[in-house]
Amino acid sequence: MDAVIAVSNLVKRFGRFTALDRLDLRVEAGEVHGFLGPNGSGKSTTIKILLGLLRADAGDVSVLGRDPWRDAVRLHEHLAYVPGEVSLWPNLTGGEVIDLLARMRGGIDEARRAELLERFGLDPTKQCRSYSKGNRQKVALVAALSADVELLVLDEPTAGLDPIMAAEFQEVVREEVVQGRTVLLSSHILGEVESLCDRVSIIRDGRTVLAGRLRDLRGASRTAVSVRLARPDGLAELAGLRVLEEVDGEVLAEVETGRMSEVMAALAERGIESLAVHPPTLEELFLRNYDDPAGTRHETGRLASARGDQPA
Amino acid sequence: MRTSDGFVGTGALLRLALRRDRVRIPAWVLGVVGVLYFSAAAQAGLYQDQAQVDAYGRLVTQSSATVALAGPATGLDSLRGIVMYETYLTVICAICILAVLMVSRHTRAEEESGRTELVRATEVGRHAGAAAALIATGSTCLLIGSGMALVLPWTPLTVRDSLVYGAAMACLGIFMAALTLCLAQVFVHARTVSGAGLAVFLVFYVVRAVGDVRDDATVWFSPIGWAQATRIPTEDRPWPVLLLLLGAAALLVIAVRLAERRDFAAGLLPSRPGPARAARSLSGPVGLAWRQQRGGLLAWSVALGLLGVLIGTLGTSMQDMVRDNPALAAYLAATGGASMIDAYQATFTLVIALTIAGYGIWAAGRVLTEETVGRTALVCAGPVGRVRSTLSDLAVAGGGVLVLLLVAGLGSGLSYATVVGDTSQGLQISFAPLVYLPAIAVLVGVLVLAYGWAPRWTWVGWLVLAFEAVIGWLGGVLDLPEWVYRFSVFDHAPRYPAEALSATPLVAMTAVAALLLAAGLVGLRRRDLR
Ligand SMILES: Nc1ncnc2c1ncn2[C@@H]1O[C@H](COP(=O)(O)OP(=O)(O)O)[C@@H](O)[C@H]1O
Ligand SMILES: [Mg+2]
Repeated sequence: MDAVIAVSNLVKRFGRFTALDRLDLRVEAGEVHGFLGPNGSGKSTTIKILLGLLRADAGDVSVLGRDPWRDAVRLHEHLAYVPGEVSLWPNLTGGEVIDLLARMRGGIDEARRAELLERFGLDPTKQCRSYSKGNRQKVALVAALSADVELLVLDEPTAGLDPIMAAEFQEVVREEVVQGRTVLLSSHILGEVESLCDRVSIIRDGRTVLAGRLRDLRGASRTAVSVRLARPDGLAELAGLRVLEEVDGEVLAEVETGRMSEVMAALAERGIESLAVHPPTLEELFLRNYDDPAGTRHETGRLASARGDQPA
Repeated sequence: MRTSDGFVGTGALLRLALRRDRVRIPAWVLGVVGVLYFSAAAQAGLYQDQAQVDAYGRLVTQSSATVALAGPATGLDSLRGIVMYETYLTVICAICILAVLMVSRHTRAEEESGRTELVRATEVGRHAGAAAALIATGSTCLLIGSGMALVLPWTPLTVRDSLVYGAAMACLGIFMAALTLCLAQVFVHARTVSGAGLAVFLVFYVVRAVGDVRDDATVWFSPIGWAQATRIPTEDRPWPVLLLLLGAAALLVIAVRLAERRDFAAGLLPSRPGPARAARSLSGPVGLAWRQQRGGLLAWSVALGLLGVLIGTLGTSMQDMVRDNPALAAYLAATGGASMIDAYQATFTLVIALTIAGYGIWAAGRVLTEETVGRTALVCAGPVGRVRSTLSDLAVAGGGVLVLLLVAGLGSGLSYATVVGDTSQGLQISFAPLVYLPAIAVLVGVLVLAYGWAPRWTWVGWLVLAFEAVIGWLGGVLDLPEWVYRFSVFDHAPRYPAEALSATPLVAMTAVAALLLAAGLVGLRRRDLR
């Protein structure tokens, strides 16, 4: 099956500033794709290009098989969008905005509208000027989620929601996926991405640094172990193991990808008293890609393996 | 919280405001003082001897039209008086519009954008933003006043004339700024605040016009009347200027009181719950644009309708005057101004058209606001193209212009026809403003062109309007080279009913407007949407 979103070598400049620098992104039909990156890394810019609001300077962009810049209107019949900064018409009520946006797209699923209003606890009779950021976001979410579309593009949709609403949002997104919809979810909240997304793309400075199945990314990364050994000698010279710290005989270390059994055998020779293995969380994956601000430490090997397992 | 605490941080905010307006303020000051200097200096060349000055005085005192536009016809036996009389309208309009726009820009527009919230969370009092806005605006008015005092002595005016004139105008600006500050406490949107401020200004102008034409105390109900009550060339009494300052102080107290009663980002009136479902009319971009513009259009219709009625009725009194004054009638016949009524109507039609062009620029300017705050992206992320979305806004703005032209025309035509009983002349007057529809379309076209290619330059729409206003009001006085007039769109429109209608310029203007619009939309399709 063709990808719902296929972006390669996308470049976008604002004057002399290069916001996107050969960015790649691939979203398959029926998946929830996590789109991660620190502030200012270019997530919203990418999304606006996917919607045809901004024009790409170079690279190939295809959304639902169309060129979003040339074919924006027909493309938009099949997708719904929740912007990162939701600004609404202050003198309209939330209910009016939901209806307006839905009618411009040709209709609304009444039952779904009522249900979502109920679940998000949104009062549709309030004027938009009196809504908080979270409530404005809910208005945009209800409008987007009650639309009958193939693709949902959500730009940090839970940034203003409280934890209960954020959980409700996750529930709703799962229902959308069951309906066969595809979701592109840009987010900062790693727990949310971890529990919702099949695959993620992590970008930095307008470039994709990591992309793939969450499971594979974890497998492809170093695993943390904490171990207590009877004879903890010569660990520093052990290939495949990097000791981080040692506290009261408890050794914290990282095991290199693919050398787990080798390292385990070496540890067993030294008499394991206790052992705990922690696969990397998304947070660790994320932080590892950003903890060096200058971007000097490029782990191209891991990157390549992560990209390699992308279905082509 | 004590009121004095509310002003903490005013200095920092003032520096911010001045930094943001570092181009605007000098542009306003130089523009107003410059136009004023050249039009005042040009007067000297127009009158060779006292006989000509006297002729001017005679003509003006007989014409309620010019009295309504300019002010009390005093001191017209000297060149100084003529200079005052010919320049009042320009300065008054410029300084009042400046005050309204600048205060609304630095108060509600900031609050609406959420920037104030950021600022107010720091060590900044509740009134600091308003105080900074008022000081920045007041200083700009004072700069204009000082500029007038410095420059006008090189025209027929004396030093003392110039000082009083400058002081009166600066204080009028400060008064309008304080008034706008009150409005900014009541209304939530910057656009409503500036719209209401301009409407109040229009009312003040009309009240003073009525007072001056009837030559009675009505003028004292309008602060513009106070400014002109200085009667500079004849009586030279500066004390009415104090009235303006006292009035401004009173308005400031009211503004502080109002501000203490309202919440941040809220108006005084609590926001009421509205309908949970959208009405059928709110189903697409046109419905949306109508919903956003209808309130402003209604207010402008009422104001312009009243202005029309006033003009129609004044025209009647002119008719009486000509009938009662055989000398004037003979004079008019001799000078070829056979139909003074027509000339009068043509002048006022131009004024109405320029005002409505202001509405057109204001309403069409919405497209930029909508885009900057991100609402255009919300609409265009649905199956609505950006051209369609923009055209919807423009179509509703254009419809508004048409309605206003009709309302103002019918107001003056019907009142004229009713009072005089001359239906055919009434009909002519009713539809006269429509002649300017193509010219207004060209101005809006310039705005769209800028918006499509370089949205940061959308304000050139206002610049073009300012140019048209200067040419329209002062064109006859300023001794400008011929080619400058050729750039004026309004100058190409036939001065109906004084001139016969001719189709060529109207068709040409329509074509130019269409071209500008199309070119702007081409640009819009090629550029990034914010
Ligand atoms: N219209 C614009 N003009 C100039 N720079 C921009 C514009 N929009 C975004 N940028 C810059 O591009 C970069 C990426 O921004 P954005 O896509 O909003 O980041 P994210 O959504 O990942 O936080 C930022 O450095 C931002 O400052
Ligand atoms: Mg963003």
